[in-house]
Amino acid sequence: MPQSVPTVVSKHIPDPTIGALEAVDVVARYPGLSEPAVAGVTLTVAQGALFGLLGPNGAGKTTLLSMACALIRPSSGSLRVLGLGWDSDPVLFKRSVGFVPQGIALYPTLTARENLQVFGRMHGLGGTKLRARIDYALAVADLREIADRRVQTHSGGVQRRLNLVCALLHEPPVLILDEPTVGIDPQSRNFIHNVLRELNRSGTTILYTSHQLDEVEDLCDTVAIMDRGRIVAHGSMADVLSQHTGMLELRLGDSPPEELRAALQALPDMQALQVEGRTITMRSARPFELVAALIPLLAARGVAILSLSVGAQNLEHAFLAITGTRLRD
Amino acid sequence: MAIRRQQILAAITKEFLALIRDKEAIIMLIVMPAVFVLIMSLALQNAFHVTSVKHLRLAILDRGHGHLASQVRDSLGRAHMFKVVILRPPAEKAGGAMTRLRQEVAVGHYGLGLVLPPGLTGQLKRHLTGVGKHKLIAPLDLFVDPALPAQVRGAAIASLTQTLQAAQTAELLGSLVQADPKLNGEAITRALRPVLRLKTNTRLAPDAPVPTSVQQNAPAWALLAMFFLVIPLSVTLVKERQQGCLLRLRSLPVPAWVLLVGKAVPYFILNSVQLVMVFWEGVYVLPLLGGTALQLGHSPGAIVLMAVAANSAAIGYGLLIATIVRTQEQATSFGAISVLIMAAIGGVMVPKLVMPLPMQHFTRVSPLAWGLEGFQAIFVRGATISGILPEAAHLFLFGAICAFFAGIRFRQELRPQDLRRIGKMG
Repeated sequence: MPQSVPTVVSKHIPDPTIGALEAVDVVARYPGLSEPAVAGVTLTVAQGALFGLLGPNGAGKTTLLSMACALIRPSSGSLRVLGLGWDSDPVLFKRSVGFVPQGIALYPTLTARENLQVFGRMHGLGGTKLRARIDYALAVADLREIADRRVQTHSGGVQRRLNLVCALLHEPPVLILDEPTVGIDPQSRNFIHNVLRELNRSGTTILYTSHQLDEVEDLCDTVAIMDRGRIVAHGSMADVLSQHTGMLELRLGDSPPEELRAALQALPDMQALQVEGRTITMRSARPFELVAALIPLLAARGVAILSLSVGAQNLEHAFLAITGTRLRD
Repeated sequence: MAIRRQQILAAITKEFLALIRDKEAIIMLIVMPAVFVLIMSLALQNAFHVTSVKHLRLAILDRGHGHLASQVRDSLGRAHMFKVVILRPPAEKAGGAMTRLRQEVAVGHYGLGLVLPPGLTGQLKRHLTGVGKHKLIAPLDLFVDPALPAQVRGAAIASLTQTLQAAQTAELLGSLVQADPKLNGEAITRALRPVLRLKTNTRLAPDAPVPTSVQQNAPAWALLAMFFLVIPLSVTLVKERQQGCLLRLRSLPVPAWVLLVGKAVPYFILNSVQLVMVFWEGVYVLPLLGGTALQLGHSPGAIVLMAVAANSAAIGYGLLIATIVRTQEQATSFGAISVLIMAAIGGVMVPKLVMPLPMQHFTRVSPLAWGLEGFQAIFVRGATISGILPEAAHLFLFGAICAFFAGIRFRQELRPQDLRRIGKMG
């Protein structure tokens, strides 16, 4: 696999006056559920952004992205892509978006080239333009050598790359990816990230969801975190990290005794506590006061401290600080 | 327009490639009906010629050792329908012989067992001449193998009854000649020979073919196979949903009707190929294997019209089921069962005429019955296009209604979905 990615042919000139995605008080309510999956989300993603949408399982990410791809209809509120509502011009709306589904959405008995031909023609492409776009897609995904092999014979990484480039054939100004790197090796993931960076440099707006927070931190310049259907944090990566200084991470020399856990829980400034092996993660509105209280507590019990950090060190810390550690349905 | 052309081309291509690379579907849709028609046509060849039953084993237990048994044997032997064995046990063992005969028929050693009681010839003579003490002749015991097909049983009993009546007539003739020597026995014998006979005509149209099992089986099983496309067709849509391809297609600006046309065209071609193969097999292969050749009538236009009409009905139904079912299990079980029910009702498996009368009226609701009636009208009655228009119209209408509702359902599926209709996505 080559280390470089072909230069993207088309350039999209971002228009700063119109958002790539503009959601205003969007609600998505499933029948039989007391809480809406998306509960009044208002969000603007600027054109040209490389935007990461995060959230625990069931937070409403896929529902929000599905609305942006015109797969489901909001129960209320308005959602526009490049200023277009689905109702006003469904065809133009769909042509504005390239969608990379979470699953491998390919015909397994067709070859890579045949899949590209099918999805390209579905966009109305034909003749030399279609051939050129297929050649481009095969080059981007580094599939030229194996383009005429059936998809079902390819590895997961190859299928993921093809899954991505099938959404690029019509040169969409907005590309929406729902966990596009699930189950692939680091090389393929790195390759896909490079493709996305290159596309973004050419002006394509990227909306990206993943549970791999290090990926999002590495790739995206803007991020939003959803929880229980709401946007609970939104901004540049640096902003989101700096907003969550209440995180403390304590690494001990030994596993903490049960009695210590109870004592920590009882500290007045403790908002959340999680013990995993020798690592204790805490959240507090007054983190330095908490540190001042817990040091003597540990010293009195003779517990050795390996390290103590205050503030979100990475996106995962911020994510856990915002969404908590409770398991979700 | 150019965009639509590309989309339709894409929809047909992906369906066609997926279909021809699915060996199981190809085997099911082309090879299976071909084999079925071959086997069923050869196996059921005699069902259309009941009188051609050969060498059915008939045992006559002659307890009276009279000449009636020989007379019956000689008479039946000429027809070659029966292979007659006369059992003449000694008088002291006659009771046991009857029980034994009953058992042997029960286990299928003999197809039929006729018991002629002691003194039957004398009783008959007394009955005919009125000489001596008159006594009503008891019915003769006839044991019948329970496994004998109803048609064969009916034909055999009718033949046996006719033979016994002929024997009775011959006995009467003998008695008359004996009583009055002036009578010309030969003249009476000649006069009593049946001269009013039936000449059965089943070719009622000029040059119409003779009805045979292949005329029934070839269109019947070809129609069944055509409708069986419901399984691969719905399975492909289920797979598209499962593989996520439909999700991707839903995000593209492609209308539902394009995708449905894309599904319909390859199956239309496949069904046409299958029908041609089945008819070719009936015409050329069956005779090589000792069967009767399929005769296609004299109206190629009518055949084409019926083929297109039946194909349209099958594809319309397949599309409707494809848009209704949600799992492969539903597609295979519901698809197969619904088609088999339509086939059973439609007279594909059981000829309509042997059904009870209310059931015969019920066959009118099955599209397979319309197809079968149309093809048989062409093949057996020599019908032309005007003769099969009602059946063809029914099939087209059925296909159009099914396709219409399939279109509505699929359009709803492709549109941005109302959350009240779908499950939680995460």
